[in-house]
Amino acid sequence: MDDISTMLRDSAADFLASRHDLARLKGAIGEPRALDRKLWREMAELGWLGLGLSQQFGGDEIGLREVTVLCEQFGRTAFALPYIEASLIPALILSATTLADLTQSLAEKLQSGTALLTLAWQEQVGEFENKLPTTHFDGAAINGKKLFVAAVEADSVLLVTARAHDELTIVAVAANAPGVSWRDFAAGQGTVSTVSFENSPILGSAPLLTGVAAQHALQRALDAGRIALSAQLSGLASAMLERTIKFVNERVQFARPIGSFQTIRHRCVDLYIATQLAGATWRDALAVFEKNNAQEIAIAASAAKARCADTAQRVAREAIQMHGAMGFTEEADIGLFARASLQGYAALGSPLQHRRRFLQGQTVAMQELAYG
Amino acid sequence: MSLPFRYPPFSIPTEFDALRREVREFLNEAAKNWSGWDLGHSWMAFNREFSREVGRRGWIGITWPKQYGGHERTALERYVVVEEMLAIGAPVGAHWVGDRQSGPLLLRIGSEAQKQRFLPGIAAGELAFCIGLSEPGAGSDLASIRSRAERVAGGWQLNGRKVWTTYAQHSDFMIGLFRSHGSPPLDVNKGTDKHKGLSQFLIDLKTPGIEVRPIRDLTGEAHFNEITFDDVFVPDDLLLGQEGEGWAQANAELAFERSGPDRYLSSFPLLAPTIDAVRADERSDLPATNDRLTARRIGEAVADIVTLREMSLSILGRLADGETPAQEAALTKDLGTTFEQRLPEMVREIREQLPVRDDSQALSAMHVFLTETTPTFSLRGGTREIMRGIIARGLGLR
Repeated sequence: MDDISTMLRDSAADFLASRHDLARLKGAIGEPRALDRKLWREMAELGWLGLGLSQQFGGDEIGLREVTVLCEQFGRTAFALPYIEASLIPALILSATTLADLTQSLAEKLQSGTALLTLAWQEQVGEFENKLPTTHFDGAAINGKKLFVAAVEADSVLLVTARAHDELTIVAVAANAPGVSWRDFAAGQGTVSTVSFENSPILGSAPLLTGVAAQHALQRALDAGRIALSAQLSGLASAMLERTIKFVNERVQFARPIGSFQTIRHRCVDLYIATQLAGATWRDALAVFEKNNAQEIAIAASAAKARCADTAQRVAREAIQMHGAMGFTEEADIGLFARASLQGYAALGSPLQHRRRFLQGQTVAMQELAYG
Repeated sequence: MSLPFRYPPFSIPTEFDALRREVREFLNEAAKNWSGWDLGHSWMAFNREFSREVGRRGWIGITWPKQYGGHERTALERYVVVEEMLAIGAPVGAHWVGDRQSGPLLLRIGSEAQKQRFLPGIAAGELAFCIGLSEPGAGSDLASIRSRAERVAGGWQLNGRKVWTTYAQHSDFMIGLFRSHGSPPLDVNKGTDKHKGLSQFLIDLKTPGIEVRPIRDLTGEAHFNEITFDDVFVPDDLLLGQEGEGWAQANAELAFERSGPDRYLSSFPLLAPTIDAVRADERSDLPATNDRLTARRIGEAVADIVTLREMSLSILGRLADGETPAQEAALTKDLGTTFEQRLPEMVREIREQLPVRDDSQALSAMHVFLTETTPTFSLRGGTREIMRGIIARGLGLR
């Protein structure tokens, strides 16, 4: 790990230890909740928001590598804010646009945390970005519906994928614009929304991105999101295992710590091996990302997302089992980690989907097929 | 090596098909009022009104003598009723423990007065029972419980704590396991037989000194409870069975709990709507979820469920012959709970969506609840590790 990464990891660990209280997440399990904006602004002050923005928008050379350092720490603490959805992905979409008053102001909002930016792309369950959206942009306004959108609040700006003249475009739409409505659902530790657009005017006079540029930006941003999410899932898995090892050493049954039973010990070893494999897949994907070949990135990101999601799920299941009934209570922190794993499992594509994409292995070709 | 596991084939005679149809018709009508979230609860849903209706129809205490409010029908008929209830996900929680466990235990070892007092209420769906076994320091190691019953004039005085008691907050009575004599628990582990000196009591949960604290869980709801006993008086006539024989009595009770279809059907209501959803995808322009991977997953699930049902029926047949196939029950519970836990995962793989609670979509809401609740399936009624221990002893491992 290089110096910047080490510094970032340590400062993240310090910040999360002092400012992130798992107890705060309890009491409203299963109910949609508003994003903690105070915490979000503090993250902006630390310089975390907008990491990945290109230099023309005031970004520095900090990229996905540093983001994965943060995300791994977020996983390790079951941090609940949608950093990947509302910082990394919008930063990468914006970076692909040309500098203009609108994009400059969006980048500033993103970095300062004064407004939320979020990407709205998925329209159907199980959909990948290789399909042209049905949401339609007619040159001035959009019509359509998007699923599973994170960080939708009254002052959010949504980066929306849409179809215009049978081409992909990405437009910016204010959540408080006419014709925008949404319903919130609890998902894992956070909230996702189903957002509808009815003749909703876009911000600015033209789309942010169009055609091949939009396709490439979308795929790059989502694959970066998948790699960062894999790091987060891997962090969740490692933290769950560490907490479980601590628990089984303390919990006494039959006059001995249950961690002294071979069945428990062997299971912990198996899980440790699984977490190491998971860590290797996202680190590999990160290395591939830095080489900048979209097709190879897609394959490596899918491998990482499938492995890390499965691993986190497996560790969560076993961790609760080894905690006994205690592990199922709201009081025990392990349950919050399990909920976070569950959300990360399906977000940006489930393991089965990613295995399919890995097998097909040719995302670019798939796109040509879909758009051709 | 001759294995101690026997699963002779057994099937339910066709003469009970009419009963099955009757139950199914009733449930199909009742199900119109249940959301997907409700259905996901299965036997963890507590609905007194529903239980009273089931009692009125004669489907609780089916095998019990008529003099105690029972219906003197066969265990096979009970199985048919229970299977139908679980297959659809009916909210049977208010009568579940009484019908499955507490009633049969009372019939076997209760006093005449206890039978007359409690059984008719259970059979009518009026009287809800819960089980007080585990304690904060005694889970898998159940025999090391510390809650105590002390002899006082006219009865017993209870002190201690019970935990993980399902639906104590809604129940009327608890059958609780307490240490009525013997060494203090700390010495118990050093030689003395900790299985001795335990007794079971029928405890009215409205008695002064009892505090029930619901425990919120991963689903955001509270199904379990922690119950504190502070100088709680229980009269002599509510000691259940023999003083000091509580361990053997409680274990026999657990045997009832481990062999039924509730150990493999808890997630079953997911299966049919999932197959419907895959078929609907086929007709839409949705991404192909109807590929070979999906087909294989569904095929595996159906193969598992058919096999588990055969195993469960086989145990039923042996129970009906008066045998106690405890090994087979443990094996079936282990496989059954694994299947129950696997099913929501399978749906997640096939449906490929975030687990969001959307009450307008029955499958989605049911799926969310089951996804969040399945971790308990291999904990409740004896953990997977305890089942494996029983199976290993059956193999001759000591």
